[in-house]
Amino acid sequence: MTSFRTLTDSALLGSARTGIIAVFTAVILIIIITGILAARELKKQRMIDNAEQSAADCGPVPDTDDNN
Amino acid sequence: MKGLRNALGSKNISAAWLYFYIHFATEVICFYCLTRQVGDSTFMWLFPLVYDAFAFVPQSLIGYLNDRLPRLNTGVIGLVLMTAAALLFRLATPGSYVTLLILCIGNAFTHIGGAEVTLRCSSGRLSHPAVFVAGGSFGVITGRLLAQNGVPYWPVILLCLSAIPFALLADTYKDRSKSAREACDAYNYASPGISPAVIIIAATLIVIVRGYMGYGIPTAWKKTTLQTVALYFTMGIGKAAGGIFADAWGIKKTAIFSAGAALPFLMFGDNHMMISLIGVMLFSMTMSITLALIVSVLKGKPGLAFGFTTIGLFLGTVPIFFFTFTETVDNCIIMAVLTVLCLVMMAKIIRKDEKKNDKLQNAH
Repeated sequence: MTSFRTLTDSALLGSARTGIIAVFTAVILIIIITGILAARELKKQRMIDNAEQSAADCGPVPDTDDNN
Repeated sequence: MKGLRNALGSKNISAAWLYFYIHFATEVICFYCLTRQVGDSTFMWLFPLVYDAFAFVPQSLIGYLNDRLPRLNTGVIGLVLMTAAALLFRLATPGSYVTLLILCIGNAFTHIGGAEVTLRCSSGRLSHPAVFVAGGSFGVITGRLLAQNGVPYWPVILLCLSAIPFALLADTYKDRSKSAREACDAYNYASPGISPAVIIIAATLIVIVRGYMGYGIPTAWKKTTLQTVALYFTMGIGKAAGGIFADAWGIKKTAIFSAGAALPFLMFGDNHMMISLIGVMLFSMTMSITLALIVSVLKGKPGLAFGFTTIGLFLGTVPIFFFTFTETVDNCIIMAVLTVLCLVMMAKIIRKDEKKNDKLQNAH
C-alpha cells in the first residue's frame, strides 16, 4: 500500500499550491545553473590537463641562452 | 590501528572539530526554529519542504561564489544570518516564510564554510569533512528537543552566537592551508577511466538514494525520546566513522562494506533497536565518500562539489513529502533494489587504490 499526497489535495489549494510550484521552479533553475557551472569547470580542467600532458610529452625545454 | 591513529591524529583536524561545533550550533538553531513554527500542524509540512529546498539546493551557487572569493568567511555570514532569522521569528516579523528564507540561506552559508575549510585542511583525508558533517545529526535532535520542551529563543540564539569565534578561528586554519586547487589535488578517489561528468552524476545519484532511504528506514522501535536521541547519535557517529575508516582501510572497502552490510540490519531491525542502530551506523558511513568522489573530479571547486551532494540530499527527500510506503515489505524491497544499485555504481566509480592511505601517511 502506498499513500500519496498530491498538488490537488485540499490542503494545497490557492496560494500554497502557487508557492510550491514557485519553490520547484527555483530548485530546477538552480540545478540547471549548477550543471552549467560544473560543465564549464570540467571543460576548463580538461584544457589544463591537455596542456600539462602536451608539456610533459615535449620533455624538458633546452636552455637557449647556453652558448657553449 | 596505525591507520586509525593517522586519520584522527593529523594536525589540521582541529579545524574539523571547530566546524563540528559550528555545524552542531547551525542545526540546533534551524531545527529549533522549524519545530517552534511547525509544531503538530499537519498543514505545515510545506514549511519543512521550503526549508529543505532553500537550505540544501542553493549551496551549489553559494559554494561556487565561495570558490571564486576564497577570502569570504561564509561561516560567520551564515551564523549572523541565522541569528537574525531566529530574532525575527521571535518578533514574528516580517512573515514566517521570509524569515525562513533568511534562516535557509544562513544555513547554506555555514555549510559551505565548513566544507571549504575541512576539505582545504584535510590533505586528501576523508576524516576531516566526515567529522564536520557528523555534528549536524547531534544538532538536529538537540534543536528539536529544546523546542519541544519550551526552551525560549534567547539561549538558542546565544548558542549560535557562541559559534562565531569558532568560525573565525577555523578561518585561520584555512588561511594557513594550501590553495583550494592544491588541496583538492590530494583527492584522487574517482576511477580514472570514467568521464568526470559520469562520476558527478553517479555520486549524486548515490546521495539521492541515501537521502531517500534515510527517511524510509523502518523504525517501529522508535517510541520514546531517548530512542530518538539514540537514533540521531548513531547517525552522527556513523558519519564520522565513515571518513575515519575510509582513511584507515581504504575508501572502496569502506563504501562497499558499509552499504552492503547495512541492508540486512536495516531490513530486520524494524522492531529491534540495537539491530537497527547497527544498520543506521553502517548506512551513514557513505556520507563523506560521495563528497570525496565529486571533489576528486571538480578539483579547485570544493564549494561547488559540496553543492552537488546537498542537491542530491534534497532530491532524495522530496518523494517523502508526497508519498510513503505504508507496508514494511514494500519498503524493504525498495531499499534492497536501491542498495544494489548503489553498490554497483560505487564499485564502478571508486578508484581501485587501496594504497591511498599509505600515501597520505607519507605525505604528512
